[in-house]
Amino acid sequence: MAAYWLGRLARTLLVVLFITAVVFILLRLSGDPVALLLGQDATPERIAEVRARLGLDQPLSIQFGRYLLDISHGDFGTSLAYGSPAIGLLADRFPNTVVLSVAGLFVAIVPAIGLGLLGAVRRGTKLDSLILGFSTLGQALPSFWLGIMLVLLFSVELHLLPTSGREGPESIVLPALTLSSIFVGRFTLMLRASLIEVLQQDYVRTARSKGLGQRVILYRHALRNALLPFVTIVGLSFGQLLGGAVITETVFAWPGVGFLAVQAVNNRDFALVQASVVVLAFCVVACNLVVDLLYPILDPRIASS
Amino acid sequence: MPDDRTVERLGSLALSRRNLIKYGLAAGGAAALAACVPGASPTPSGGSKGPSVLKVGIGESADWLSPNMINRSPSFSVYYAMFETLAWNDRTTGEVKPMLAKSWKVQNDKLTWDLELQDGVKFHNGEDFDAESVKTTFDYLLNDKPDDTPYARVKTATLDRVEIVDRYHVRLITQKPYVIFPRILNEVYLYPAKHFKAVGPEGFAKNPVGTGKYRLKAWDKGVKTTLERFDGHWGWGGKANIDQIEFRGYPEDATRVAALKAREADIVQGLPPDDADGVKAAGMNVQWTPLAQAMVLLLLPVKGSPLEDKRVRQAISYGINVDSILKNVMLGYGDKLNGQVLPKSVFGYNPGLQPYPYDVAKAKDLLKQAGFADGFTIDFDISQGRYTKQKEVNEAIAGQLANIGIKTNLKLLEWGAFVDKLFVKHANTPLNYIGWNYFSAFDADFVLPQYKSTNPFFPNTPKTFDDLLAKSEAEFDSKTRQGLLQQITTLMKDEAPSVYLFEAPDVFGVNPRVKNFKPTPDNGIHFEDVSVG
Repeated sequence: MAAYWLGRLARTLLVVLFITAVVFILLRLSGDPVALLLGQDATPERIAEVRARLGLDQPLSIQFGRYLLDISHGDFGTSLAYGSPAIGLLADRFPNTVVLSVAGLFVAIVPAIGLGLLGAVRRGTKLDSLILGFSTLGQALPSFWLGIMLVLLFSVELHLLPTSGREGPESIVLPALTLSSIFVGRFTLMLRASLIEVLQQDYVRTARSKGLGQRVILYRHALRNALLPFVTIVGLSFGQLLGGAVITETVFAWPGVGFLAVQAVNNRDFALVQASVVVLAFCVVACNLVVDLLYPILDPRIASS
Repeated sequence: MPDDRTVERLGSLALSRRNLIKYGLAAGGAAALAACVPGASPTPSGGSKGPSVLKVGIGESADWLSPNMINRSPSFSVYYAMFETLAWNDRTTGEVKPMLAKSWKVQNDKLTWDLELQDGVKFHNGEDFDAESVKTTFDYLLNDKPDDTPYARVKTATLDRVEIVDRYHVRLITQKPYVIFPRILNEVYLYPAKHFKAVGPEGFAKNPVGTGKYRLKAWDKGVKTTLERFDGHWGWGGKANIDQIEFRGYPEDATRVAALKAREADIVQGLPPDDADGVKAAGMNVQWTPLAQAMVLLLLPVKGSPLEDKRVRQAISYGINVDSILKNVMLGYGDKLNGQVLPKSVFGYNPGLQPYPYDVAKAKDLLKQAGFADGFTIDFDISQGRYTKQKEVNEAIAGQLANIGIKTNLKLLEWGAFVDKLFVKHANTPLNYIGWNYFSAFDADFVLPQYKSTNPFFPNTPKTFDDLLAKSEAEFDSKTRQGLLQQITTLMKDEAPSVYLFEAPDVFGVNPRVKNFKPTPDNGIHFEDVSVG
């Protein structure tokens, strides 16, 4: 078990290092942040002066080495646009992203369990087709479009919910619904498939032949076993939610890391873009790692294999 | 074998009405429940007794309020309300007028500016405004962490030092004669010396203090900035009628428009022209002003390119129908430039010039004279997400150029990549669409130096242009300088280094309960005299 965990941990660190390198190099290749920051009327001398001061005139390998050394001390550099430590700006925004992701996950899980259950037990019926269609549609709808439609309906027409921002619990409803749309479908399909497979197992028939009630069979035996792959995909999706809230946060002006990252990209704010991407990537990888580490606990056969 | 009976029985169990509601709709209910939380409905603006509150929707809400450090246009309105400057540029007359400086005078050396300061001015924290405030602010820009002050540092680049004469007199000494120096003073927001020294630049950005009509009341970073009226204001300018102003960030245009329609915002800035009719239909007003931003098509005489020939540049100017673009693409939002790169609100504007008329025959004739009777193909770069309807405008331009035989390779670049290519690498794309900003100095010298022959863009600019510009920059008599600038703009019309298209619009959606709101061309909102019904 220890070997399994250590192996996964080492691979995770390598992935994080690789992502850091890719982000670093791509950003450097994409243009000069100082010129963008200083504006179109900055003199070449002034641009050169600031570039030298920020170490941007050094060879890429030296810049990267310094960057790795700095982030190992928790120093992700200073945001060029805000003049403030990038990690501090991220720390301010990160809790908002976590709150939105948890809410999105909750809003995705609850209906997915209901719909997955219904789809499995009514397999092949019109209701099942409807659920399959809904799940596919949920995954296909662009979150940008869905978000705007929800705003028009619930905010402009019905005046029920605020259009955007983060004030009170009501503010999170529309962004959470938008963020969850893809995952509702994914979770529903996963649970439905898993449950159908379980319901076909011999032990379900045995349970019925023993005279157990249908409710007990479904909820105590079938659903419980079908939830294993479901929990796995939920865990993996949480990382994606953290990293994938960029569009939702922008549409709803939700002050999270994704929104900050978009602003940083627009400003060519190297330090902030790097910090945002590295931190978000780390979150995704960490969630995957946690799921991986939990696997052998949930299913001991994995560790032994 | 599938156990269909089991499935059916379980299905009947699951499909009961109760279970359907219980399991199937639970998630939808969760979302709806949140809407039932007390106070869940958004508070529509207006209609309440108590303090008057104006809600303003801008492109982004500030994370960092440091007006001399951060050049982010969505924050301009917050800066205008909270901070003041030594001088200000009158948006209606174009004159530079006193604000925190009572008066100024340049000495004979044309380097030393003596300023007399207002007395009796208090900062929001009770600290007095005096010469120490001026010195502290400018010293910070000049000496302290220049990397952290890129914006104002660029604008004050000509300043050498600040000397205190007495409590209400300071002396600002420039490195070279700089005629528009008083106008540049409009760029620098004054900080309270004691507070700034005590908390430092970072602390100040978190706890900003100015002398403006409004002071910071609450700040939910990245979401909302709330200002309240500062009753200790010294009385400059119009009246502050509103008790509180809330600035909320709506980065997405569609959400910002929705906020106005939902009455969450009283004023939204940056309304897309395409949404104007929808906003009017929702009972809101639409107001706009030409922004002091000249939209031009840069015609760079890249070596080996047809644009090296003046006749080709003139042909392009004849071949673009600006009126049609303004009417059909910009939907009337925008003001045509009159054959020059200077908008009407800018010092140096030449009222004697007329735009190139739209004349396809003349354009083709000029191309023929230049040896391009069969036309040519040329690269054309535009950015995205920066200017109003820029993609549509440039597609129209590309279509019109095709009519005179010029085919374009139109490339849409992300703004950072566009700036990098054009201003850093000078990557030699002949056609580029760009907006020249004049706010907030509103002076020709903000843009004309871009056209000097020493600039890599325009190496073949005539020497006459360089000489006239140098003279105008050293000329301290306004009338004489105006004459020199008019000569320059006349020359620039003939040389056609750009197609002078139109002044970009700043469009606002306004709730009818807002009274006396007047848009200004400086990319922000001024709240003097504005009230809410």
